[in-house]
Amino acid sequence: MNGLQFSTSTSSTLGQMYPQTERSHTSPQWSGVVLLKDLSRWQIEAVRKLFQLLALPRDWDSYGSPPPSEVAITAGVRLILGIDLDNFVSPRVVPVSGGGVQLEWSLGSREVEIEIDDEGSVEYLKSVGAKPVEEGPLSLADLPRIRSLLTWLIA
Amino acid sequence: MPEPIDDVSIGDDERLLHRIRVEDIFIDPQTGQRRPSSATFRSKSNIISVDLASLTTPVQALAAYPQHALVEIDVGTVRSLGCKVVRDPLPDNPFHALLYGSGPNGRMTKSQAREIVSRCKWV
Repeated sequence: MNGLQFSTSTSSTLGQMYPQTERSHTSPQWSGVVLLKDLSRWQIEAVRKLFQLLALPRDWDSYGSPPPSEVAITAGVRLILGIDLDNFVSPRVVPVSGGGVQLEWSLGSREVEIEIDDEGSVEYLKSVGAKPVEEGPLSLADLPRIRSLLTWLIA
Repeated sequence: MPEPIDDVSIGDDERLLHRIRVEDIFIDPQTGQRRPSSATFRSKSNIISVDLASLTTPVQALAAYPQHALVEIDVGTVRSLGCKVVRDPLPDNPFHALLYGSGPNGRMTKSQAREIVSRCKWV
């Protein structure tokens, strides 16, 4: 999983990984550890859903798609961990044909979708009353923009 | 990939069938009705596979995938959203067609996918 590991340990020697990348650990394939105690319940739920998608078989969509790529899942996890909103809503997590994944939030009449493709490219869509109002590319490094998208849901 | 050309021999009243994984269906909080995620009409390959309903049956469309659900949407509706439909018969599925969006190389835009899942009907 590109160095991202989770631990239920109560040790605080390795804090939340994101946004810092590349922390060292005794295991060479690890670049960081995320302690579940540092995460909000909605984040834990979202991350769990993302990891579950890795178990999808080929042709899960009946049209020959591979399961979501590790790149897409890892990007999704990092996105979730980068959102510093407590008591937020856990997104629906849906696979996308071709190895991608989509996170969907709904609050009242507003919706935000963030889609990550198999190579980690990201697009978003905002909708009001089921009508799309804005879509475009998104950088996962642009945490203020991602936060702005999500807080729009509750504005 | 060349831009797809809409097949005008497919009438607006034709219906397109598309299989949906049941785990990707949820209750829309606004309508209280079940609907597929818009992700079910997106693909990295830009290709959304459908079957032409006038040439097949729901039973045939689900024959190899009985655990999936099936939605339909008429061609006139997808064209009104800027989409194109192209016949693409396969050896094991002569009723197969491709649904394209108005993005680069026929990519379905996220807005088009979201509109489609609002308008499609369960079969």
